[in-house]
Parts: sequence; C-alpha cells; structure tokens
Amino acid sequence: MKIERGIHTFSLTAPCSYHTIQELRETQSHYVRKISGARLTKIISLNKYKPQGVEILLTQSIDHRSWIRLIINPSSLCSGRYEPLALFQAEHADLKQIHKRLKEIIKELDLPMKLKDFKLNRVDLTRNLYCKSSEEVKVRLDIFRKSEQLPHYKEKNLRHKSGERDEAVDQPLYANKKNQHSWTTCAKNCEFSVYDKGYELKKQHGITILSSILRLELRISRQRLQKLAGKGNWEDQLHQLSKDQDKIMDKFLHRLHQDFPQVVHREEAFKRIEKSSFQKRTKDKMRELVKKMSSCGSFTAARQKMGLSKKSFIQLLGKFKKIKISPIPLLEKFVRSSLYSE
Amino acid sequence: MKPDYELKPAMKKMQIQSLRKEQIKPIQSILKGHDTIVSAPTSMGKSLIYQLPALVHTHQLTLVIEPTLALIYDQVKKLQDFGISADYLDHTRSKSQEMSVLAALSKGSLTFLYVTPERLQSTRFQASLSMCDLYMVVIDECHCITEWGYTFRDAYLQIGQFIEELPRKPMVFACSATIQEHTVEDLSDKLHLDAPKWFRCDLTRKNLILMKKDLTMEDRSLENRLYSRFKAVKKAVRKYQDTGSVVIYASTIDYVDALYDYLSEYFPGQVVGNHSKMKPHKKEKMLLDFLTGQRKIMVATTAFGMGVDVPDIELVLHFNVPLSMVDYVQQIGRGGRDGRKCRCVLFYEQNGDDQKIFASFCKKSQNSKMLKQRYQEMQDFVHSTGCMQQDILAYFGQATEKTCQKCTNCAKERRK
Repeated sequence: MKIERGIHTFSLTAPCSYHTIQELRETQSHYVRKISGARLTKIISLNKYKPQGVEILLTQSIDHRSWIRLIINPSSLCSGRYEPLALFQAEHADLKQIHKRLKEIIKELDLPMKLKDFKLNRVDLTRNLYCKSSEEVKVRLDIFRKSEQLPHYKEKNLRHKSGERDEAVDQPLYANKKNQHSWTTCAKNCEFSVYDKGYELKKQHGITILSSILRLELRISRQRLQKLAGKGNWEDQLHQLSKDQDKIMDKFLHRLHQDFPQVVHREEAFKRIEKSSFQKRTKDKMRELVKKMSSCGSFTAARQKMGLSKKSFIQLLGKFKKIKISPIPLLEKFVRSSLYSE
Repeated sequence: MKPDYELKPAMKKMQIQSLRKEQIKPIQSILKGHDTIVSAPTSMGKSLIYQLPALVHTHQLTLVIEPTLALIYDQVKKLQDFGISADYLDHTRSKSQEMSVLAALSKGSLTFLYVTPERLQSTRFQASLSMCDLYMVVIDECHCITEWGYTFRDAYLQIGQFIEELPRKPMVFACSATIQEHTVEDLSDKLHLDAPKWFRCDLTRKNLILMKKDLTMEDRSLENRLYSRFKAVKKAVRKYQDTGSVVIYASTIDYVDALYDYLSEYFPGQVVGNHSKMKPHKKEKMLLDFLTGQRKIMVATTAFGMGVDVPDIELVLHFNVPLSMVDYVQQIGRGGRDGRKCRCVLFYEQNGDDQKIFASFCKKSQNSKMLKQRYQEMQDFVHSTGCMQQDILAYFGQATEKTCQKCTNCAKERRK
C-alpha cells in the first residue's frame, strides 16, 4: 500500500493586544467564529490568505490574553495554490520559503509583532494511506475505532464544535452522519484523528479525487510539542518533528495497538494461531481475544471482558506480533482475505 | 476691577469684552514681569491669562509647553483663527515645515510657539531659541511636572534646567486646575522660579453633580463582572444623556476598545474612541467628530482630557477608578463647560479588578511608591462618606463648610 508521510498543517501563535485585533477587524474582511456568553470574548477568522494556505484566527478577549494564530498549510503556501493532499517535509529550503511568505503576510497586515515572536503551537503529523477502494477505507476506519482507550484520552464527539479548530473533521457534516467517516481521540495536548479524506474533500470543498485515501493525523500541541521538538525556534522545531515523524507516529500507533502488519478474517486468524508454536493455554487466550475483538468496541473493552491485567494483555498482544497478525478480525462480508499495513 | 489700558488691543484681537477678577490679577502680575502660578478651576479661562500679555508683547516670543498634541492643535487653531501668529512643532511636521517654523523664530515673526516638553531637549531647537527674543515660557497644565515627571515623562523634570540654560531668563507662567498647596513649592523649585506670585481661585464647580456607584458583584467570572459594568454604562448614558455629549473614561486601552465596540451596537454612529495606540488619522477624525458634535459619545483613556473644550458635555463617566485625585478632577473638569448641569458618575467595585489594573501600572512605573500613595488618596475619596465636592476642595487645600447637597453622599445624608 502506498503511504505518504509529512506535515499537513501547523500553527504559529503569538500574544497580541486587544487593540491590534480591533484594528485588524476594522481593516480586514472577517467573520466571528465564536462568541462568549457575555459577548466580550470573540474568536475571529480572517480568510484573506486562506487560498494561499494561511488562515488567521484571532482570539480577542477582555479578561484573558488576546492571541493571533496563523494556521498554515505549508504545501499550499509553498505552491501558492490549495494542495489538499500534499504533505510537507520541513527541509531548510522550504522552510526559508515559508518564512519569507509569512513575513510578507505579517507586513501586509501591518502587525506589530515579528515572525520570530511567534511560537509553534500545533503540528499535524499526517499519513495518507492510499487504499484500493472506498470500502477498504471504511474497513480500516472501523479497525481504528477498536483502538485501545488511552488514559486521559477521550473519544471526541464531533457534535460539539470546538471553535478554534480549523480541521475539516471538526465540521458538522461528520456529526450528522454519526461519525461514519472519521474517528478521533483526544487529550489535552494531543489529538489523533482518522478520516476518509475523499469524503471530506467532496463535502467540504466540492473536490472529487480518484484515490481512496484514509488519513491519519496526529495533532500535537503546546507542552507536548516542546517535549518532542525541543525549545528552539519554530523552524528548528518543525525540522526536528519532520525528521522524527515516523518514530512519533509509530509510537502512538503502538500505544493504540494499531501497529500490526496484517489484518485477516477470523478463520484465517484461528488457522495462524493453530499453526503457531505457542502453548495450548496461550492459543486459547489468543482465540478468545480474536472472538472478543469481533464483538467488543475496543481493545480496552475486550481486556476487561477477559479479566486480564494490562501487563498480561500486552504479553498476549506480543504473541500476535510474533505471528504478524492483528487480533482485530476483518468483517466476513469484506471480500479481500487480508489487509497489510505496510 | 478693570483690565489695564494696554490690554485693550489684545482683548479686541481676541474678541473679548471683559475679563474676570480672577483673570485680571494674574495678568497684571505677568505684565509686571513676575513669575506667576495660577490655580483655577477647569473652564475658568486660564489660557487667556498668558495669551493677553503675550499679545501685548507681540514682537517677542511666548513659548507654550503643553502636555498633549490635542491641546496644542486646539490652541494653535484658535489663535490662528483670530489672525494671531502662532505655530507648533511636533513629530508630525515634515523637515521643511520644521525649518520654516525655526526660520520664523529667528526672524522674530512668531508670537506663540507651542511644543511638548520633549521638544525642549532637541539641541537644534535649543540653538534656534537661544537666538530669539523670548518673552515668556508658559507651562500649561503644570501639575504634569509632579504628576508625570516622576513616572513616564521625565522631560517634564528637565524644563527647569532648560529655562536656566537660556541666555536670558524669561518670565515663567505656570497654570493648572489641580495644584495642591504642598506642590507649589516643589513646582517653584523644579522650574527655578524667582519668588513666584501664586493666585488661587475658588475651585468649586457648582454645575457638576458628583455621583458614585458601587458595582461589586459576587460573580466569580471577570467577564461577567465586566459585562455587568458595560450594561451599567449603557444604562447611565441612556439615563443622563439628553442633547449634550458624554465622555467615558477607562483605565486601559483594551477597555476603551471593548467599550467602543459595545456602545457602538446600542448607539450606532454616536461613539468615538481615543487612546494613544490609535492610528493618528483615525484618532484625528474621531476627535474632530466629537469636537464638532457630529458624534456625541467619547470613550477614552486619560490621554484624552486636559484642555479639551467641548462645551456641551453633560455626563462624565469613570468606568474604572482613576489613578489619582488629580486625574479625576481634571477629567470631571471636562463637563459642563457651557454652564449646564453635568453628571460625573464614578464606578467602583470591591472585587479587586481595578486594583489589578493599578498593580500592572505600578509594575511598569519607576516610582510605584508615589503612585500607590495617590491611588490610596483616590480610594479614600471613593469610600468617604462626606460630601464629595467638599472632599475634592479639601484635597486641593480649600476649606469650605458648605456641602454641595447634590452628590451621592449628600443625597444619602438627606434621605436619612
């Protein structure tokens, strides 16, 4: 399967005075995205540079700090037109180009701060998985839905708009369809989302693509970002994250137990287990897990039903690693015999 | 008391029929060549006190030091409208304009030159001034020397040295509505005055109705507390504005912008703003709209105030407690200049929100001790139960037994 890796979006943020935002509101076309109950805090969006890959979000607040946030699609910014599928590799030459363009935008907007005053606030490490059919996209999405529930992470209910997010998956179209085309789990500084990119492009932008793409997005923000990318300037941080992206993404998929090389039908899984050299008791446990995984919503639910401790559960998953299949079986109606992750 | 005969042509030029007693005495002092300090209430006509003697010595230069550009523009425009040779120097003037002003200086064709205290530190300006015949140096709103000199405008503290270094010491005239008894000595010392004559007028402004409103709330959210204050502003404007203008003072630029936004919704086309971060052309336009009465509600920081002469202000509202009594008196002094009744509403609260703003000012200041003292004086005034008018007069060293019978405290006392 063809897999593309890179950064889809990143955002830079800088503190800003209430007055600067007021000036921007008076001079630029904008719309108020969200407003607080007392109407004294507003989130405002400037769309002037969106076709070029830069969305500007302004948080204007009287009781908290006001912020300016540049949400950048680096591939679009580099090419000068909307590139929904391209993923960015933060090489020095490209970063220089982005730096130059952003500097121009800041100057055009007459902002009082400099580009070096901005800090990296969020990076979306992204993988595009090119599937053979839209059915495969759906099947893979269902497999992700059965991921381990990580501590401090919560499955995101997309019915509630988050207001500050720019991602298409936050749009209500998914909420209306009961999250059929996406799955998201999030914690304070990290969010992982899997969604049907083709569906999103068609619904949001009216763009039809021939490929069936499942997109994995790991959105890292704030303190977590500093931990992973160090304390340098945003360009160095981006470069570092781009370099380490595989390591970071693989580690996260491992935590979700989504790093098995192959997914097969239940019967095939039983056959492979039977063929293996494990003890009978282990084989029974493995078979039980496969059964549970076909009926339970997640690894966590299956572990609880089996009454296993986390440690022994991890050991059991290790056995699956050895026979290179996932404990999550493919649905019977899915015609293909197996799905490979690599 | 009649003005001197020599003043008549100057009065005619400025189209003035008569002068008040409080104006004549200091004018005579200036004409006699004494250094003079005048403490007179707002809207009393302090500017005339130095303008008339300067017009008597029209061939000599009178240098006027003003704290704000708005004041400079206003004064210069008024004088030019009377056909008097007056000009100003500020950062907005181009090099060629500046050169032509300096050339006029050396030719002796200028009677009035208006500058800010910062300009006095320019060596080119000092050199040009040393070549001309200087009659008088005027320090308008001279309370700024002690109010601002120690905090954010140390150029004010250098005025004395500037005067001292002039080849021939000119006469000095200083005036303000808010000079305290104990600051006169300090002023005289800072400006190197020679036995100055001090004229103090009755500071009572009978047409100002002083009011205060406690907006303490139990709500834990700052946003909700602020929102309720915003609503109170709207209510006060609706209640007290009739046909005149309104000035709303807030402590921070953020509050000014937020109030401007909020009030614009309820009073469309009526609101203007004024603060230091506003772009000059926009600020100028808004100020002009307010001065000409096209828009009636001004939301501003302390930057807007001294010397602004809009006659029909009938409500001065303080969204936050001002940082000092001097600020407060200067700001309420904008009201009722045409003699009409003006409500001066002061909002205060005990949630500590204003205290936090004050703390942030203190952090930035180099002289936080003095700021704290002034703020405490203001707090004492806010929480005092005595007549508010009496408290203000007492602060400036004027004892009076009569209460105003109109302020919030007097009204409370009456109801008892």
